[in-house]
Amino acid sequence: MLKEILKIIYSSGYFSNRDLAKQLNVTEEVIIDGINQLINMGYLKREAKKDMCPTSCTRCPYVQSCNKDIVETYQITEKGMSVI
Amino acid sequence: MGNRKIALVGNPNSGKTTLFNVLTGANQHVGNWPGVTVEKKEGKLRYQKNEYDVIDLPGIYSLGAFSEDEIVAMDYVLSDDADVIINVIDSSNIERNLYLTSQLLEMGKNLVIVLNMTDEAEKRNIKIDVFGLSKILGVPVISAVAHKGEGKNEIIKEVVNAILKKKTYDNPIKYNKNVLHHIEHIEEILKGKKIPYPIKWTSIKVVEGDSHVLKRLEESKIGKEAVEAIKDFHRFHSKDSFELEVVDSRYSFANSIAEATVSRPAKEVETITDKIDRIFINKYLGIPIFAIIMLVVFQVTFVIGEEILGGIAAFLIEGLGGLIEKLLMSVNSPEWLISFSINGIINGVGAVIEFVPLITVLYLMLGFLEDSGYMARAAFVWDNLMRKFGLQGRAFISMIIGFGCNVPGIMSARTMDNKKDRMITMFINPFMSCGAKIPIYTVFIAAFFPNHGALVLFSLYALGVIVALIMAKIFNNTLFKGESSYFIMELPPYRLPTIKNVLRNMWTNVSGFIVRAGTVIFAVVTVMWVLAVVPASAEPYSQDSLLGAIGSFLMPLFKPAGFGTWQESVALFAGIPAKEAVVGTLGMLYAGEYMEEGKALVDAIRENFTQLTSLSYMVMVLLYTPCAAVLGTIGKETKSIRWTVFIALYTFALGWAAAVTIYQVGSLLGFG
Ligand SMILES: Nc1nc2c(ncn2[C@@H]2O[C@H](COP(=O)(O)OP(=O)(O)O)[C@@H](O)[C@H]2O)c(=O)[nH]1
Ligand SMILES: [Mg+2]
Repeated sequence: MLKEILKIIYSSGYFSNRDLAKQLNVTEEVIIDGINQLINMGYLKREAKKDMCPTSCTRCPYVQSCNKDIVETYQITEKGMSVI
Repeated sequence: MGNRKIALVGNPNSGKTTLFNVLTGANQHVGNWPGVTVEKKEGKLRYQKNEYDVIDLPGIYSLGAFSEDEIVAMDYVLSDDADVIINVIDSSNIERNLYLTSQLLEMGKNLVIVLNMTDEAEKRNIKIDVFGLSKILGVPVISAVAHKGEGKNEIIKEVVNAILKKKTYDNPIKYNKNVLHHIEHIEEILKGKKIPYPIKWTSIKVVEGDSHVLKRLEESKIGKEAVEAIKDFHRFHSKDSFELEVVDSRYSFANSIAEATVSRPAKEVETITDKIDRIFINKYLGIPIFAIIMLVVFQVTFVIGEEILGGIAAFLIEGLGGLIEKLLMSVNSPEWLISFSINGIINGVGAVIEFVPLITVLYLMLGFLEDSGYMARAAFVWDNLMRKFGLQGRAFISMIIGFGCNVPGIMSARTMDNKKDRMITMFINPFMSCGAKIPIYTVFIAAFFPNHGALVLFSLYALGVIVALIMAKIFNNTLFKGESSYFIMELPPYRLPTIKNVLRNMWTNVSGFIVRAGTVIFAVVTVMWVLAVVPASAEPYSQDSLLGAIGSFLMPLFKPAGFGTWQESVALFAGIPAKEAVVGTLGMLYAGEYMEEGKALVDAIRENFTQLTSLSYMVMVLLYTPCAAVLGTIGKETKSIRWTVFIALYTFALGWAAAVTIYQVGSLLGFG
């Protein structure tokens, strides 16, 4: 299953737990666990959200929009690529 | 002999603690597992004159080396301290729970499965073949509703029975041949050695590369030779990803069990949102759909924010101006104070404040799109396109943020590890039309394109994006060669946006806009006003003023773009400290010039521009040198004055060239 997850998300460039669950005929929770396992084992990397605004920015009126993230991004690691 | 021991293992929230309480009653105490901060709960169960120790293990999804909880649970289960393990399963989520079950079976431990939360499962119409499950696994399986005590007696009976029988199990998981071969190889190495865990299981874990097990092996006395042999094995097979194979074998097993014994109500085969989603992220339709959505957003922004609310705001500001003027006159204020208040504040800063309703409506809608999950889709379709221009998808996030303000847009490039991606993302961000430019576009639109506002605004934003993409491609082929990172985005489920999130997003942008109007814009307009009324010998607001001199000096530069008056040139100059000041300055200067006629800014603009020059002016504003705050940010982020100067100059050149082209070509075609 994990290998398939890697292959699917690699070829489509995106993933939704819902789609993966449907394609692999498992529940979304199983997919979520699977993704976490892939991350734990170092096949997939979740992009760390760095704290973008330094403290000197707290007076900037746009400080709140600085750290917002509208989408989670992941990277398939070298190890992950070798499986694909 | 001490008491027999019963341990509870299961996913978090499967009801372990509830069952633990049911079994032990008040008879329990809480401590810690040795050496770690993980809580250890122990209690006593009395049954038929016997006493049993019950241990509640931490909740986990798998047994491995990835968290303290997992290690505590794994070590405890393997220690053989417990006579029987109760695997508590949340029936409403059984598929997920079965992975842990497969690991327990892999260990061959004496097991009793409790299907807890069967009430929940029933509610959701999930049917589990309890008998079938027990038969396939060979393990006793009991249904329960722990918080109601349902199933208690049966559980106790089966558990006691299992303790008496001392059952163990053969590992039911089927590994692929290659992996199996290596497991046997490791078993060969470990044979006869004193190891802390069962040999078969240990061999699997060694092949899997479980760091905790490997560490324990090294600590135990298996001899240097064996340790080296294992290390060699891993070194030799570092590229073989056996761990993935092993984990996948467990998933195959767990999924097949679920398939055989669990049935869920047929999901609405394909919901409407699924279908819509497929279209939204379609390779060809995704971008056009995004364009249409943005066009609608702009249209609504204009109708509600400008035509309806904008008029009210303008009316209020004008009224306020009248009041202030009367008040100042009634107390015999000096002439210059009245002039400053009316021309500088009301017509200058006020011209910017007028756009608060428009900005509010725009960011309300953008926030709605963002919170609904659509923007993640937009990021994905853009990712596909942007990759062709040598940008990576996260750049789109910076661009979206840049539509609010380029400063955080540029800051957000910090999340990128790849230097090339980061630099290009920063360098093109100024082309994302920020909120501060909206007032400029809007007054020109009101003057010359009142019926096509949304389309013109949309075209300007689109032009900004197109220029950004082209520049990205150019940078990519010249200044910053190299590979981009490849990103995968998670598309979150669609959801109804929450009012709180939408309002918060709007307020961030609107309050930023207002704060800037009251501080930076106020300061810039004040400076411009002073420059416009000195020296005393010159007619205020005229070409003879200091500001007029600056404007006249700049005028030849902008002549080829069709900007014929000194006011137009000097307003662009005022836009470098802050973009809104372009409108603020024009408002102040025209108000001063047309004081007697009492002309509105829009009328004054109509008199001084043509449709064609208004277009070239807007494009100039879109592309030319970003504001001082943005340049400062670029300086800080690149730690380079040279890059900062470069950006200030190349954007200016680009904006100028575009404005000149529009004016010259337009004139040739007879639009002048
Ligand atoms: N509907 C339902 N809820 C339960 C059942 N058993 C436990 N719960 C509830 O599930 C939640 C989590 O239970 P808890 O025992 O803390 O789970 P643990 O994390 O495994 O220890 C609590 O709110 C319990 O009241 C059950 O059989 N049915
Ligand atoms: Mg608990």
